[in-house]
Amino acid sequence: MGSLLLSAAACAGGAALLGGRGFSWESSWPGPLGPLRLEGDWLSGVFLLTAGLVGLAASLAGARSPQAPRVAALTPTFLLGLFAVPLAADAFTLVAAWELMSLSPGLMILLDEKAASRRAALLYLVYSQISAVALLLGLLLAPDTPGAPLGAWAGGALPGGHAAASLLVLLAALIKGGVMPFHSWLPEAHPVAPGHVSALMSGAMVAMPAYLVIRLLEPNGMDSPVALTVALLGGLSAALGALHALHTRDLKRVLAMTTVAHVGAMFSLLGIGLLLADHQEAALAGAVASAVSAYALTHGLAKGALFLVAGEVHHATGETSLDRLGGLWRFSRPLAAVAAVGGVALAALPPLGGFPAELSLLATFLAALPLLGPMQGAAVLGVTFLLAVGAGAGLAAVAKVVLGTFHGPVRAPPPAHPIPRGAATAPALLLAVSAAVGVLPGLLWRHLPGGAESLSSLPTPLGEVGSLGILAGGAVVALVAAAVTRGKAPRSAEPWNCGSPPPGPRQAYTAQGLVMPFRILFAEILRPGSDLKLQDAPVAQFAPGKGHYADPTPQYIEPWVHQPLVRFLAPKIETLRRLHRGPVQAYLLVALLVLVLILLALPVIP
Amino acid sequence: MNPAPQAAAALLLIAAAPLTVWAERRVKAWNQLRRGPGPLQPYRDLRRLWAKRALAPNTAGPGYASAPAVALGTVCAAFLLLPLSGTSSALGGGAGLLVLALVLALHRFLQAGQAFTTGTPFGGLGASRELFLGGLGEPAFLLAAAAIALKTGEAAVPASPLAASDPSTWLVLVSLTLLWVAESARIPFDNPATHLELTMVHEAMVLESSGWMLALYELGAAAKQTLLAALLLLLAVPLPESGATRILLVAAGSVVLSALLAAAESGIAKVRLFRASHILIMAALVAFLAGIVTYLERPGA
Repeated sequence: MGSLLLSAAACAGGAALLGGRGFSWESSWPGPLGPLRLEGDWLSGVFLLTAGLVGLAASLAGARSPQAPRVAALTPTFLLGLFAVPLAADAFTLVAAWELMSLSPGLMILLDEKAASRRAALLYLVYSQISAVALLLGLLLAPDTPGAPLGAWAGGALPGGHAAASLLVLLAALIKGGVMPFHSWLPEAHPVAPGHVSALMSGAMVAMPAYLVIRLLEPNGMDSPVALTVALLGGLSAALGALHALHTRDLKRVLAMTTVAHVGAMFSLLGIGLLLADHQEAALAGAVASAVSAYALTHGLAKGALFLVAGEVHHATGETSLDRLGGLWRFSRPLAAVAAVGGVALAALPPLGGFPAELSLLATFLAALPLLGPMQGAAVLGVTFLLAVGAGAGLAAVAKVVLGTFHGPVRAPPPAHPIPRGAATAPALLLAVSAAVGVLPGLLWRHLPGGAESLSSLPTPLGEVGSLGILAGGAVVALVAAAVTRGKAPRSAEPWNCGSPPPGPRQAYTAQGLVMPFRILFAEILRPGSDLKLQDAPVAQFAPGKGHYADPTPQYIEPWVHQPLVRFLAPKIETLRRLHRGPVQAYLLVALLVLVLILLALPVIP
Repeated sequence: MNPAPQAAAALLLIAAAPLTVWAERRVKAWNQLRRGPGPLQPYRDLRRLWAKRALAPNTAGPGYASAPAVALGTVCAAFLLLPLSGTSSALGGGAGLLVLALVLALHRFLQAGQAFTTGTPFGGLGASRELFLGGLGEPAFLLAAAAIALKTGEAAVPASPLAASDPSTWLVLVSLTLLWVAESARIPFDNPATHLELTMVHEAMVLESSGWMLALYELGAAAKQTLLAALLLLLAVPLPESGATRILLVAAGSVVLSALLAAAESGIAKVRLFRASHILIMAALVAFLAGIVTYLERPGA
């Protein structure tokens, strides 16, 4: 109930901020790094609205599903962190909100008490703490911020010309957003949480790093090598994230991998925005901010809805493996319909909200091209290529999730619980908002700066796109009506199967089979493993009674970075732990030594 | 920009779409020393199918019966993104090509969905290959749009054709032509004349469709081929700025292009799926090259 009210308030606040009602508040308490300050403008409004809407739906879904009371108790703190990040306007509030947002879901996963989720929670917490430390250091290093007694950040953009602070904040955003190569925690951590928490993490939390970059870094831009690197990393995430999603066999992990792809798309454009700001192209850099924030909102709606659907599927069947799911429309037509619409929204197809957002993202990309020289232009064209690969593979990934789970034959096991009618309500709420934005993009774009005026000079005809949605809808309705009124409802019959009995689940394509050509073509890049186990085979491997096949596809960073790093660090950490548990004298001696070292170093530090 | 003539032009092109089927059949028949059907035969085929009652497999999910109409509706709406009867399109404005890419993606999603939901092996097979080839075509299309945006300032079909003296124009056209062949499900990507499971893509997806549903799918396929042929013509051929001549030339041009395609495909064999994917990747690289060449063509570069 508390989280519902909180989310509703956030939605209202976000809408008010978008409507042009800015606010600012300052605490009378002096605070550790200056007084606490909250500020809101249109940018905060978009991200607050994103978090609020996803929070609202997630709270609705969470109230329906049984969950551990400890997990339930943490939901409001998670929401509070999410809502505070876009409003924070001083270093202390921002870092505190960032930590609240990062730690709450980590604790929720830890409290789940499964071994697999504990490893995921650990990985997640390590990454998010590195991100938080980078953010804190970056904000503390921000020089000469007006109104900040200790030189720490106090709202607005970071002053240009201080590379260390900007780079640290950028690093914090890249890690927290799960941009490659900092992404390997995301497909581990997002799926193990309960469905509605996954929705919050993948729908709302991943938007916040993009907010951070827009708010702190974009106004002053960054050097072109850094900016182009960000764009390239984003493009790589978009392409490889979608391709990895095709290799993944778990419903929620596929969705999490597509999150990597979509965050990558946002960061690729943010990289272009940083470059444009560096080139003093303020109008187009502003358009980048609008496009990315709209993309974050519509992505949150679609991803939140699909994660809520995945949560319901998991709850009903106890299963998230796409190899064992299928044909669920027979058990809940509303959920199947919501999943299909969610797929259309996530793949950025008309007429849902993802469509105008993807359009303005791509259009802003193309508008930036003529402003660049041949070398940078070629790099941006390369990023466009990666984005397009991600779009093509992303559609296949969405089709795989939606069709593989809800269509085709029923595979084992049928739902243990009946899927209740209300299961589709919360995701349908998100998709209704998405549809409204898709059919009438002006609802959102009118409130983005330059959304109406400067975008009309850019190739982004949003009003007309909206009418396209209406028109297509109208044409469709007319055609369907014409077909049905002619008494042409098709007669139900057995499907054709070359004269054999009707095809069973063993003959029909699985979700993985649907994307098999992609997996074969890109196997050289992703290097999936192959693990085939045959059982009950009377004659060697020729007639197995049962078989098990898996193709674990590790992220490059796992064998290349993580495992060597852990092998290197583990003994050293063990030494430290021995000190921790050892005699108190040794402990005190080390503390004394560290103090002496700090005192010795003090005169050297500027 | 008055939408009424644009809509009329779109309807005319959709109505002329079965003529492209006739042109192909006729050329192929000549090639095989047959006489071939008359121009009205594809229309008679459509009327025959439309009059028949359809069968829906009892394994198909909800919405199966409305899929053909929706799929046809998306293709029809896409015609409004081209400047058919005047210098600007009815919809899409300066981002028409991007909208077109996403509308075609929606069409692909619908087609694949209706095929997969039948639960038959053929449906899954067709859906799988359609998503694969279409997904690989997307980079080619978007990069061609990027090159056009660089040349003309907006990612839309320009009112006048691209300058034929620019090498990048030819690269864009090569890339889009390959894409047109792939999206039209023709040799070397797909062979609409066979029903071998080794080769089917589009035919596998509509294998369960019959009667009026099949008629709508067939019309949709012809319309999509005409749509992309019209795109190529608008980019490549100087046409009168407006009026009935423009649209009639586009319609006649798509029929001629289809005849040329039929003549070309009579001489080559369908390639296997993983060679077809290489052709599409090549198309994307050609479009990428077009973008880079455009930079070099700019004054002062």
